[in-house]
Amino acid sequence: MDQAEELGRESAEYAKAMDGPPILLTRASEAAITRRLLAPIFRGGPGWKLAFLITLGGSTICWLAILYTVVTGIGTWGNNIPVAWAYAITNFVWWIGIGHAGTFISAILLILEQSWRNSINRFAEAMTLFAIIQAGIFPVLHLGRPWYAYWILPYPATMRVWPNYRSALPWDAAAISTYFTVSLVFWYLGLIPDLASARDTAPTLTKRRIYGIFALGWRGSARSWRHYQMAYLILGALATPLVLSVHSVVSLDFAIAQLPGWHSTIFPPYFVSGAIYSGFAMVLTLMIPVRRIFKLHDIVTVRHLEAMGKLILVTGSVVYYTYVVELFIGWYSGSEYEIGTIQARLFGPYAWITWTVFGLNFLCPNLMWFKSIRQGAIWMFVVSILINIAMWLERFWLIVTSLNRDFLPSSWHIYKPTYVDGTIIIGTMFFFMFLFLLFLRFVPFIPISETKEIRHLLVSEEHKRERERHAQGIDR
Amino acid sequence: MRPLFPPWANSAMWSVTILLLVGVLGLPIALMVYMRTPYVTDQFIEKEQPIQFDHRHHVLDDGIDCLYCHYLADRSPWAGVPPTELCMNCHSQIWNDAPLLEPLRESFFTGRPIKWARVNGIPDFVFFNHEVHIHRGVGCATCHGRIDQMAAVHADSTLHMKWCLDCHRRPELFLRPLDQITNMDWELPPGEQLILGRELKAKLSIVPPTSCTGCHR
Amino acid sequence: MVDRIRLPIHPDSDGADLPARAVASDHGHDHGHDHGHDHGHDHGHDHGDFDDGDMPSSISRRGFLEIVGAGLLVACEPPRGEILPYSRQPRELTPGKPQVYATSMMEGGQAVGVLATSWSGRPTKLDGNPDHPATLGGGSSIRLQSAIYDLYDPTRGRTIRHGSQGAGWSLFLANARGGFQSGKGLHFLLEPTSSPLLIQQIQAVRGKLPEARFHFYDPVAPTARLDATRAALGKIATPIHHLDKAQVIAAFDSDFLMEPAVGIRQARDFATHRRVRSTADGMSRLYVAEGEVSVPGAIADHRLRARPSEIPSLLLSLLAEVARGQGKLAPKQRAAWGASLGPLQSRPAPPWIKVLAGDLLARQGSGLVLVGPRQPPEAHVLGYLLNTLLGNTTVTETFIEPVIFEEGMESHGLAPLATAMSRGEVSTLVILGCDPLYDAPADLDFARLLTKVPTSIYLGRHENVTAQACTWYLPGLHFLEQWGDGRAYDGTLSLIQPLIRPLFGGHSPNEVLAAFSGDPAPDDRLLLRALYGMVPTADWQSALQHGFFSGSLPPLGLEVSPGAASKAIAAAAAAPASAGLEVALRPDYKMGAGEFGSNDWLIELPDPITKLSWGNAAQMSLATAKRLGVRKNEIIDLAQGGRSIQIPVLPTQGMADDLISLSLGWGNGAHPREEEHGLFSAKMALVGVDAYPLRTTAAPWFLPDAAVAKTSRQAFPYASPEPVREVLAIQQTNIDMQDRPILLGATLEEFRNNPNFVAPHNDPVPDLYGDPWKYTGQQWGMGIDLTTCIGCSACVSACQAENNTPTVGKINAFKGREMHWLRIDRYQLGGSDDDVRLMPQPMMCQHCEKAPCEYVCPVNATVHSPDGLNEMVYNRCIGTRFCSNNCPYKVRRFNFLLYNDTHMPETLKMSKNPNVTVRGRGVMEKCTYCVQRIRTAEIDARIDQRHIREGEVRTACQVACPTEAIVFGLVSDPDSPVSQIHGLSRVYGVLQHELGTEPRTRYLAVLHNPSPELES
Repeated sequence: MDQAEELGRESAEYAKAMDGPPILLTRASEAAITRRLLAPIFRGGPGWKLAFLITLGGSTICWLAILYTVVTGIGTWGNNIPVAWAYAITNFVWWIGIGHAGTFISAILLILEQSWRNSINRFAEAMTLFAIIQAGIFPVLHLGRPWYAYWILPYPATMRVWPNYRSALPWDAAAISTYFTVSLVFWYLGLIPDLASARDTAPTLTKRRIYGIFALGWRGSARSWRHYQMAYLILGALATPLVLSVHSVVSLDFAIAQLPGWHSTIFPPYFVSGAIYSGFAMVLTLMIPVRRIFKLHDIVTVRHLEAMGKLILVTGSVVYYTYVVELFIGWYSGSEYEIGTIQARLFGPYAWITWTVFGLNFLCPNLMWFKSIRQGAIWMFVVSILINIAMWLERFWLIVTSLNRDFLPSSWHIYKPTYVDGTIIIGTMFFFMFLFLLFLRFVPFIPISETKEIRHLLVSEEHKRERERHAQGIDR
Repeated sequence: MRPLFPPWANSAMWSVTILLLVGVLGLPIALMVYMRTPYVTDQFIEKEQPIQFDHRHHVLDDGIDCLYCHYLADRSPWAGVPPTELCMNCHSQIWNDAPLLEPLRESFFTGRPIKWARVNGIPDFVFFNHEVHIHRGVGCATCHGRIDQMAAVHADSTLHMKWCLDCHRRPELFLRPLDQITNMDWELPPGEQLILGRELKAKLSIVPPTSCTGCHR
Repeated sequence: MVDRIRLPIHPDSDGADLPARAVASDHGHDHGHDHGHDHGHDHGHDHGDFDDGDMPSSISRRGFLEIVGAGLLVACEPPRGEILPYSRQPRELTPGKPQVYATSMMEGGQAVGVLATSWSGRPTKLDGNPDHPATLGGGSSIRLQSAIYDLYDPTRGRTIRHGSQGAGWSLFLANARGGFQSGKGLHFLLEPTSSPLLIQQIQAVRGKLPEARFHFYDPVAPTARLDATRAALGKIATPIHHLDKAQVIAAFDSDFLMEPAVGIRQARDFATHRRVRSTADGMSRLYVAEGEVSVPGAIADHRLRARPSEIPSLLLSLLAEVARGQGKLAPKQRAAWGASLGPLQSRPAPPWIKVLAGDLLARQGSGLVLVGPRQPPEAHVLGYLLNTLLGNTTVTETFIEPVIFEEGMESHGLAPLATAMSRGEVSTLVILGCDPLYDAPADLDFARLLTKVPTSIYLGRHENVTAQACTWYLPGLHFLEQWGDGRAYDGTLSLIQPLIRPLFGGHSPNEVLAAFSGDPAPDDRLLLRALYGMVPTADWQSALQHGFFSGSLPPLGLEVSPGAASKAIAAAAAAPASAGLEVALRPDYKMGAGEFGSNDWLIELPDPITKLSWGNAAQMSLATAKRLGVRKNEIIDLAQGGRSIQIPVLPTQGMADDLISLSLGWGNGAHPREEEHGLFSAKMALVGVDAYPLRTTAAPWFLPDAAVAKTSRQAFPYASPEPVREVLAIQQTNIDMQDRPILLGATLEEFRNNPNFVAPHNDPVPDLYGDPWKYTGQQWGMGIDLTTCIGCSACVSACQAENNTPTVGKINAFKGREMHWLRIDRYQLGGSDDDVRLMPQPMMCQHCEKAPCEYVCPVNATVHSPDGLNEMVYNRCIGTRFCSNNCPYKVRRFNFLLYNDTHMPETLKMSKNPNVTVRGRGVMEKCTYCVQRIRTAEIDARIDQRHIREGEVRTACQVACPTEAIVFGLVSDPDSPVSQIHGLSRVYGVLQHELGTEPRTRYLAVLHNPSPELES
């Protein structure tokens, strides 16, 4: 495209970038930015080592607990009949939900040309990958006979038996594996240029070689850039439907059951919004400390906090709206069983969870109306933590309160988790942090090329305007 | 500046990529194939038996009917291996001092059973019933093969579930007249077999169970 | 069921003939015959089968594989084992086919008919003998069904012990024979018996050693009842009740449906007048006055909550009411009794009694007054008197000679023995089968007395506390291991024949006694044969085949003597109503007096009323609990006469106020348990709490003015110092139906006015999908009559025995992981907190035609069969448990842990049904309608080229049900019993109207027949 058009577009994007607080504060030279953003991956510190060891220990304990469960049986958990699903599925839904922010940012915001996404997308995508890894543990682990998990896949068996496609679970497996693959490719594709620059600036030969291998011989020629951006855009387009599909399918695990409290058509949108809601909360939980530690205030700016705050406000509102709708529909159905479940939830043995969930998920999003809170890193951090807790509790509430009191009062039974349940959920958090630390240490976690792209956009635009003002001044 | 990688890096890179792809696609297929081989199914594998029992001799030379020794087959779920005393019906008279039959006599006099090695094993959650098959036109050879030509017996079929289902879904391909059950060399050209099979199926009103509890209880 | 096979007896053959065979078959079977046996013990590949020779090594091998591959490695291998055929095959036996023998089991010294199913010498299932009077129709009880576990019980004693070291049978024989010239100082303690063989041995010993003394002790023997007969009728006699002739039944503290030895028959007879099909059918009326909630009380038409001590006065009021209405009495009775009843007329009576009296008077000759064995003699006399007055004697109540040897005489009871022991007159005490150290009255202090006895010999299946205190221990026999005989409650002479050689050696009481009477080589088979030597062989054979010699004892024409009557009246009138808190002891439904203390099936079986498993509790009414300020699980300290026990509280609806009820038989130190739970193994010294310490000779049943003290401890599973001991593992935590249409009911009146009162729950359900399945050929279904169901739980035990259902242990039971495929829900029907009716509802897989479980299973492990069964394929199940979540009836059971332990004792493996897969860890399971029986019948039918005949397939629960409340069969055949039930107007499917699941199991709404006067 010709020069004029090019400039036109740039100024438009500039306007977008400049509306509200700026996306990027630093105007340092591109070389400086590169050096600065690559610095963390070339030298760790005692702090990192300590954190690494802690999370490593945590993950080990987690894996021991998992091993113990596999050898002994899930009787080591608190599950029973009727509450046959509990912590494992709760964790699964929670982690999968967290994963959603990543895809949302990389795919949908990309399509919508939200340039502010650029400085945090790498981060969010990594989080997505690691979250899916955590989530992936549970569907297999919670099986009675995990070693036969592969029976859920369609393959020509000597038994001549196939999976039951009327059930949601085979689709679950398909959806999640697709989701993981696409996220991985997306993430890696975005990494390539930065890996290349890591290769070019790495201090030692081995590091240069390692990054060289993963950079896949990227040279940064204009031609490769054009192909690259094409591919990136297409992938984004492919990934967009996944954001909606994955958690919709997960929600079907419950919606297709006729259990009061599960049997509800509202679940897919409810789950998706809840997922993005909790996902952004997790992004904040991770990003705000990192921003502070690596002093990235000029790259991850207030603008990002703002944007995410608004998204939380929107998705959060959808979530608590669904609460209301669920209660209403339950009452409106007139079915004594639906109503019984609602009563059990509001006043039953697990009432405290219900009220915590309702309270937090109403409070947190609505705090986002206030600019001061949206823009205050500490505030956002606290809120994000609360949201994470609330959303975990919500999944637990959804699963257990429906199961522990169903149709026949004779089979009602309370659920109590065991120490193994607890170890595994805490453990997966450690394992998650463990992977994340590796990511911070060995991969450029702020997309360098895209940051530089934004900087270039801003700087050139500012120069242009400078020149124009200068010219007018001369005229006078 | 000297290059990061030697020239052969490219070819190495490509070959690794290809290997990975092949591995990812090929491994499951390899596994599936492996599961169907005798290494897993024991098909065609001859077993070392405590007594070198030769079916060829007993069936062909002596013309003993299957049901003489495996007399449980038509009255019990299990075909069974004959009790020692049944062998002794003949072998108390002939070859009664053959060193080969020492374990037999030892078992007979001590009352301790002979430990035969199992040839056709099916998993323990499968409830196979010889009785009904033999009364419904399934010949011995259909599943066990030409026992009369085996020096040492081996399993003739995979005993995979799909192998069972092949017959349970289309019995007419295998049915034979009830008086030919123990006939080892009963053979019909496919066309005739189909016609006869359909006849028998109608005549004996054969509807083999294809629902799970037919075999799994 | 195959035809019953007579166990061949060859009079000429040597004694070892049968046992040798039993073991040979055992052996031959254990080791192969294809994998028939493995079926019994293997659910597939992640579980040990022991199809090869030396078991220990094979177990460890499999165990190893299980730890590593956890099934993955071996998943696709065929079992590569050995086949070990018989060396000599038993003639009567076709490997792979079951054999059914008739034998008998003893309850309180009386015989109960048993049919035992045996697989190649391995008995695996017991049922009632349909021809035997005690189990007419083939019904059974929880104990009869669970008795098979006692045979294989791994905690049984195995070796003869003398002092501290092992000894041999011959050594014992030597000791037994020598040394007693006249038998002075030689005492025998036996359980009460009706066995002619045993009686013969006793007489023989008495003949040889005239000064030897015999004692009989059963802690729960109905002594008062007999004393009453002696007093009232002038002769000891046993009352027999014919409930099939009774239209009005008044049970005073009487648990007549669960009584040992007679309960099965009485339940069957009781049901004959509760089986309402059309509005024309009549229905008997059941009045129950009791303090605790008993099985009959829970389903009674009218129930009066009264403490046991108040029962005599209630009977007296009833008598007074009858006296007032004596105008209605038969002239003869009026003439005989009018005068003596005169003074009573002034005595007032509560309305409940008035109505009852009215009914009894209106139905003279077809009424029945029952008084429970725990009541004092005068109460029984009043009962007999009432029956005499009302013309029920000789109709619904008759008397026969006692079937128990010397019953009611001084040789019964521990007192004489105790005095002799305390005087040091006992030099040798031979205890055959009782457990006095555990169950003797506390005031006797039997343990101390026993130390005064130089030589004490104990024969019993377990080396229990008594055995440990004795100088000799001889392993005892299970009734499936011995020859013997006994009389049924009505005197029918029944035979005991063994199905298997003694698993752990051991000897029968007959052999021990024979040894004392000088038999050089006692052998109960020869003894029995000798006793019945005069019986013609043909009769003997047929008796063995049917299990008994037909012919019962004739009724005695006995009359209540006026003198005794007036004495009883005086006594009852004089009896002080105990103030304050009253404690009542009772034999436990499951443990009896303690004889089933090691039976895991019974221990884990939910109590028929409270649904409490793995222990007992101090039951009291909600009001009393509130008054005492105690809550569920809270441990209280019950003190009586300086002795005290600590026991958790269980508030129980329906109990009388100011009454605490304890069940005996628990906490027997002989049976310690250790429960593996994950990393922790929780040790359980005892199961339940032993209530015997509160029991005295003077007050065996009811303790007035007991002291209750709270303790600081709470029974809580994980936190408490002794972890799982006092947890109340209650299987049904909620009996409030929440006004949901689950257990529907009406009164007979309402039913007659509106036969279709369940119609609203049957009208068609709108459906988007139509029928998902095509049903071809014969269709199976079940019908359950909630009116005749008494909730005795025999079906639950039967299901467990038939389907290899494991026990899960106390912690898992507490967590709600019990594995019973069939459970019996109890719902409170009407009434307030304590005045409730607790109706039972058997609940198992309903085999929905539109099953919610099926469409959610990702691997097609639960699907539908063409004949309408909801199939569960264990070996396909990966354990997502989605099916359970989606099952509205929550009847699916999940193996959260390896409950069928690969390393379970070999004997327990032998107890498994070879036709049912033994499920391992991580798979779902549930009621299959006993599909193994259906398919077996199907195969027979296919071979004969016919259809399955109606009645050819009967499920385990159906066979076990004493009241025939469960009916299973072909719903495709319009004439079949089940189709007829499904056709009745009272039929409904649980949740059918709410969810449209189209269950194949349908229920007949429960009916009650209350008296109009008491309705208000």
